[in-house]
Amino acid sequence: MSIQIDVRKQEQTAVINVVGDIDLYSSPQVRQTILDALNEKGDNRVLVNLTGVKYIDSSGVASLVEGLQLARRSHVRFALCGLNKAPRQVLELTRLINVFDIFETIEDALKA
Amino acid sequence: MVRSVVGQLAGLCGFEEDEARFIVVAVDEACANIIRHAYEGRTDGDIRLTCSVDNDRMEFTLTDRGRAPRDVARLQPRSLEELRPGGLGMHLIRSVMDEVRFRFGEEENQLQLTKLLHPDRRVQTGAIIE
Repeated sequence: MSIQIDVRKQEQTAVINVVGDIDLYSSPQVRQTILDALNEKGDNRVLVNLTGVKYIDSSGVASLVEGLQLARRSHVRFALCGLNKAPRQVLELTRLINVFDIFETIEDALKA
Repeated sequence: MVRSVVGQLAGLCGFEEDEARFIVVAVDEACANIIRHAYEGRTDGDIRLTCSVDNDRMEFTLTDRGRAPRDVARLQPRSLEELRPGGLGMHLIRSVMDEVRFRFGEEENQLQLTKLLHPDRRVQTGAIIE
């Protein structure tokens, strides 16, 4: 399954919308988009919208962790939203669910 | 395709949707590890996946003809206390499966993943799907 990624700017936040499975093949693209968004000047928050993601493997989780680490070093807020059941379970299994800021919707995240 | 087939087989063996999903994750991670390590990122290497169901267990055997690991210690899951990106795949596999066995040979490597069936869903006859 191919993956679709787009980045939109909203209230000084880069919202990365991902649609598709995040796996060994697609995670490099997700990783690069996250790192590029974090390296771009002007945004004080990067939000990864996973509403369209039904599957994520360890390489996808690793991309999110890498994003979180870079965000902390760069003093940029980094959050996830729209987690479906399966990706949430994978984050729980890797005990990373509490490491990320997670919101139900984009609107919730922007309000926070 | 592997994800779809494994999910359906797990469902046929009586695993609930969530459990079946975890089994899919584990088998998928095993395939990804073979591509990443045994075939060093190449996606054209052969992986043979066999699934057998017998009495109390569902077994997946993954066979590849790639490189055996130089450092077997890397097959152990790492501590999750440290926040870093790599090494989560083996943790996922071992969290989901009841038994994980490796066999490395001159010509091929085998990884056997076993998931025990629920006591009330054990089967009487063996079935092998390749």
